[in-house]
Amino acid sequence: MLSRLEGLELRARSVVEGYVAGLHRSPLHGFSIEFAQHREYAPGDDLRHVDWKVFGRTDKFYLKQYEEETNLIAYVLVDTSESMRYKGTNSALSKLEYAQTAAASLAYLILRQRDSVGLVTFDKEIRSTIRPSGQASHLKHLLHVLEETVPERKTSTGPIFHELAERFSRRGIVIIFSDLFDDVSSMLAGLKHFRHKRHDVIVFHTLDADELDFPFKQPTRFRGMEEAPTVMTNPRSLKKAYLRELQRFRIAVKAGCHTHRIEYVDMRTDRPLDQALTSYLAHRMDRSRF
Amino acid sequence: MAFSGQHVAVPLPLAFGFGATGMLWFLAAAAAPFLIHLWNKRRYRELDWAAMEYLLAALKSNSRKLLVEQWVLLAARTLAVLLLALAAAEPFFERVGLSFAPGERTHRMIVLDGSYSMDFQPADASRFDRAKELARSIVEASNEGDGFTLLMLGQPPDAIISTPAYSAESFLEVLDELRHPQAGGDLPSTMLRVEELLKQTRRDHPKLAREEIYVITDLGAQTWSPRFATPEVATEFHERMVRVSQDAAVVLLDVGQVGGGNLAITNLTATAGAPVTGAEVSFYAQVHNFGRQARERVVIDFMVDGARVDQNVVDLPATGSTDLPPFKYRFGSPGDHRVEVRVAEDSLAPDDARFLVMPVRKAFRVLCINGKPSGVPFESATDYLDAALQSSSAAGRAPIETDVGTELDLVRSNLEAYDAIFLCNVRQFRPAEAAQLRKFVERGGGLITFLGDHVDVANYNDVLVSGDNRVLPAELGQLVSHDPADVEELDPLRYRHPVLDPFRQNEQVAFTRTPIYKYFRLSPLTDDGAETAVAFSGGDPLIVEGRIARGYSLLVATSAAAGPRDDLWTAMPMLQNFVPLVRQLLAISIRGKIDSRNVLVSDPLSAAAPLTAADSQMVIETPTDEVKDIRLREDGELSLWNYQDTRYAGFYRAIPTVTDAAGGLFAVNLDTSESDLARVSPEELRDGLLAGVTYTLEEEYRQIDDQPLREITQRGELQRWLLLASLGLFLFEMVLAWRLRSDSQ
Repeated sequence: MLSRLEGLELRARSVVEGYVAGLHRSPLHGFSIEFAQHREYAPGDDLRHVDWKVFGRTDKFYLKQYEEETNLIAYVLVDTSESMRYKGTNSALSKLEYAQTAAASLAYLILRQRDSVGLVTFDKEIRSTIRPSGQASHLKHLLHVLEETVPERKTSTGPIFHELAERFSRRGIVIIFSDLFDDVSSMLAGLKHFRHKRHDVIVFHTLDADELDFPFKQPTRFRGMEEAPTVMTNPRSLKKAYLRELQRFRIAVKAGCHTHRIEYVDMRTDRPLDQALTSYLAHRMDRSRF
Repeated sequence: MAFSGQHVAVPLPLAFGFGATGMLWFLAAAAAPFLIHLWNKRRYRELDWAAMEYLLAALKSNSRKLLVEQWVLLAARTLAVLLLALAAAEPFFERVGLSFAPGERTHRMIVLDGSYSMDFQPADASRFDRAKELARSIVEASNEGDGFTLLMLGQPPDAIISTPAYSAESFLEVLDELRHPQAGGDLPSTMLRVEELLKQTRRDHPKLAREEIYVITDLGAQTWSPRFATPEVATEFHERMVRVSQDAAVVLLDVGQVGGGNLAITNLTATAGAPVTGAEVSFYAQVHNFGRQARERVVIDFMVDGARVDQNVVDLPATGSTDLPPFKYRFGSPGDHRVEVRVAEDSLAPDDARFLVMPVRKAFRVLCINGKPSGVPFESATDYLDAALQSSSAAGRAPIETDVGTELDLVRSNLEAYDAIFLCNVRQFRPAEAAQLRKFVERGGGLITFLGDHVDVANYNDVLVSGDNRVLPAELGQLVSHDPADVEELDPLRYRHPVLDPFRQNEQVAFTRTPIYKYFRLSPLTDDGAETAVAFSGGDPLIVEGRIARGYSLLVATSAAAGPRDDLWTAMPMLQNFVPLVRQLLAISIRGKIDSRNVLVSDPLSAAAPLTAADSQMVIETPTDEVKDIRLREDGELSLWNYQDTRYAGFYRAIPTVTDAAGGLFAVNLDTSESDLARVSPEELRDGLLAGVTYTLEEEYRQIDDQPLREITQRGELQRWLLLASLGLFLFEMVLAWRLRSDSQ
């Protein structure tokens, strides 16, 4: 177990180290000081907080009050349903392994910048929860839970997201790794709930290359995961229609995310993870600069 | 009225047939696409799949389309293989009511029935004239570019125009000049020639895409009911007819609807006596009434050398032969004489006369080989024989010049100078002597062999009975001896052989009681056609006759001499019967010389001449007043000439251009089987000889395009279409498969 833990840690470290080496500013600080409310000026208050625009309109002194400024809190959600077990012919890792590595990498990165990170694994239920913490030793715990995960059940993202949105009391970044093979509207409703709770949400849509390209040629008996039926077919003749259906699903997810200002990231498991994360984080940093 | 043959193997309206039915086994290959499909379905991989929801959705929206595409693909593959296999089986179909595509060039083969029943002339024109008219209509109605060939259904068949003529004018010129031969009709040989010509034309004139065969015939029963030698020959003929009718449109044009009675002289023979000047010769003739009504007071003329010498008026019963009273005549001068019997001319003229050539001689020359010379009168082997032959002369009958010699003379003498050779009690023969004898007999000479106490049986059997120089008609066996008190009577075998003609109805001469004490048991070579003329009452043959080429060889089981007193062989030479017997033996042995002058239509005329005449010319005058030149060719020690074109009955004269060459008169007669004007009915034809053959029977020529009942078989055409369709399907399959594949990229 320890070696496996170390394996995941090593993978996470190797993914992050290369990126962090040249980093000066955290791409994940996320929250700045945010305005909360106005209150009337009282003698002794710091004049630097007077809202002069309001004074101009009303000739009264009001002070701007701000939310308490905290460190970043990241909630990492990893889908551990059976479908995440899929590992394609051209992929080194299954979707779950890929998601685990990505999650561990981000956790490592977040902890390095002294922020807090928590972890939730789920399928149709919440399988494990680790409250956010900024302790360096916290990483071991996270990795252990990730490694312990056994994917064997059906997914039910909508209700899970609703439940977690209620649970996460402090605002933070919700980072989701899932193939999202579930009812799209229900899933989007769950994501929307996070947004409603003013969380910043990033969805890493984790799919295998085979699922995206459907490269099969010879007749195949597809045994459905997550209690889906078995289908015997000639994949060559069905490829076009399948890709159309999958694209429709991805577009629906993407559009839903866009509507709710949720960040949507495609994640192909045949792409080297360091490249995938690096390019994403670089992209996010560039965006936050403007 | 048109009749159409039906294909027996495949009933209409399917009307399909195959040229190479064996290839139909390849139809089983059509199962290959199915089997490959099933095999592929069995060869699948298994996979756990997460994105099943989208796969199921794709399947749901595409299942019908996929199914249809798969079936179309499978059907295209299967059909392509099926069509390919069908094309390989060389299919043909009989199209009913369809016409060929216009503009196709046609090979029209016209087959004219040349059997002499086509000479039947009920009115102004004969059936053959009518056939020529129809042939003319066919040619005149043809298009530019069509090719014509012309064949005579004869015996043998005659390809008059064997390479397609593209000029109608040239063809019609030949047609107009065409004369009708008087042979029979050999349908099997003609159809063989037809098929050969079709193949040859296909190879050399590929642009003649269509083939039409017009057989213009009177449907005479003799021609259209051929007697096949074996069932295999019949099957071969039938298969050939089916093949021909599959490739070409076959039309029978019937010109024999108008019939009638017919009288024919069916036989004319002379008595087996040797014709010499001054000797009386009897002629026997036979007339046949082929009609269903008896004929009264029919005049029959006997003519010699073109002049009427006798006349008979006879009543003829319906449908049967009548033997005319013998007509006797003495020829006053030597040479070839024309004898003719004529019946009053009717609608079928060629068989109203029959011809006979009689080569009349001043005397006959005979060589007697004496195997047992003796100084004592009547003890040598030939004394009695010589006396008998001389006695003939003395009696005022045929003068016979006799030379007596030994077997050495067989090699030394010019045997061609003799009409017959008698071998008497010769001990043995050398192969060279046997060869000379064989050659002599083959050219029409007569050979009469008497045995005796000198004969070396083993030598005879080795040299004269077996081998290439066989001249005796029976094998010699053991010697049989009878006590003079207990001799066997003779069995004349109902006098059916002409050797006993002098004794027939002449019982008082008691020929059957001729005493013969010793004889060799003979075993006739019946496989070679040997026939026993006279036998002993116990069954052993006394006289056996065999034919070798043109000549005859007669073998007598006993001696021509009485034999020594202490070893008597027979008393026959001492009896009066011996003279007529010897004379008759001589006469029938040399009838080959007469036979060679009297042949049937289509048989060759030929004769031998001294070697000095080789390379000289012989002029042949035919009954149709044509003159043809032929050349004598060297053949061993002699020169020979041979004339094949005896298509017409009548007298032919061979006139030598050098004195040595043997010319003379020849009589050519009809094989009168064609005189029977009975016809096969369309039904008999359809269900009998032409069962399974596709053809049309018409009375008038109509263009094939206008014939509503026309059945046409076009093997090659259908094969081409099937191949094209198969190719199209393979292309379609490739495009469809490519599209499906590109759809799935």
